[in-house]
Amino acid sequence: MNCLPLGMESLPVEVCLKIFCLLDYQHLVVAQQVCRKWKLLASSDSLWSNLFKERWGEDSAAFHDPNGSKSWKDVFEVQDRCDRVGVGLKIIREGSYYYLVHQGEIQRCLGSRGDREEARSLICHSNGLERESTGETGSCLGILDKILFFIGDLEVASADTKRSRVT
Amino acid sequence: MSSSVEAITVLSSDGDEFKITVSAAKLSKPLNWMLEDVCFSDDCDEVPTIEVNSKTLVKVIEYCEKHAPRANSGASDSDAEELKKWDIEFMKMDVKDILFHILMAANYLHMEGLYDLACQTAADLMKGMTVSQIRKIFHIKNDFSSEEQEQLRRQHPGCSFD
Repeated sequence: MNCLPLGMESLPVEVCLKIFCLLDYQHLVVAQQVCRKWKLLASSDSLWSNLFKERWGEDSAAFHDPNGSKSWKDVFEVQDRCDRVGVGLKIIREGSYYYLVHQGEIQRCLGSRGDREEARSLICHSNGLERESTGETGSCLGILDKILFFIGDLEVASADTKRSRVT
Repeated sequence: MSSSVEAITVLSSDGDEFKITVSAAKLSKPLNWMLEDVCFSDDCDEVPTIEVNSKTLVKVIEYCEKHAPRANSGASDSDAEELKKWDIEFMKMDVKDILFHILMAANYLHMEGLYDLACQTAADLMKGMTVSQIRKIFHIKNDFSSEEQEQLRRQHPGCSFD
């Protein structure tokens, strides 16, 4: 038998979980996006409740225990967002997407700058005859988006300064 | 077991013979049970097979032989330090090719120390990698549909995919 490269897919579940136990929040989020099996394993409640306890302590974990109403991963992410942006109603940017959040929970995805521009140019170019009128609505939408996104950017920028002031 | 036996012979899954000292073999629970149950005297011609391929078994035995003195007698802190350094060097070798074989072997042979070490190495390898780098290095196929991928992108916007 030769020594074929053995993929992590072929590893038993307990071995995968043991490895995931050694990863922190950011790396687990990356692991989830690798394949379906990893998504399932890296979302497991035991991993995320441990991460929660490590970061916010046993008492806080007991207080926020979802008791099956939602996953520990969701609880963790909400708590993490509260830490980063506060609990109020806000428009924030994460990566290239803009979100409306309240108490750490995402209420709505507002889209990304790239998204909207793509969609707009599609509308504008799809129909030559109606181009002018659609273009107008497009630019109206565009201004609204830009205002929303600007608020989001502002929030991100001020959150960073707030944080650096604290540290 | 005869006390005169210092080393035993085992077969790898590819049928190659390997010598391993008794004290080193004791690091593995199944091997230890085997030592207690089976007669390993000189006239005993039974050679147990270990379901691990030769390339991996060489590494596993190397690990056992290195760790056996400390496991059996206990050691000073300086020895422990030295052993830690050795472990790091040990894991540096063509890890990507045989790391998973070592993981499987350590799991199968119930070798806690090697298992923890291999898991830690795999985890460290993943840190700082992007999703596609992980797929490449761990030989994993992307089985998400494009819709799922888009959804993931929205859920984890801060993540780099490329």
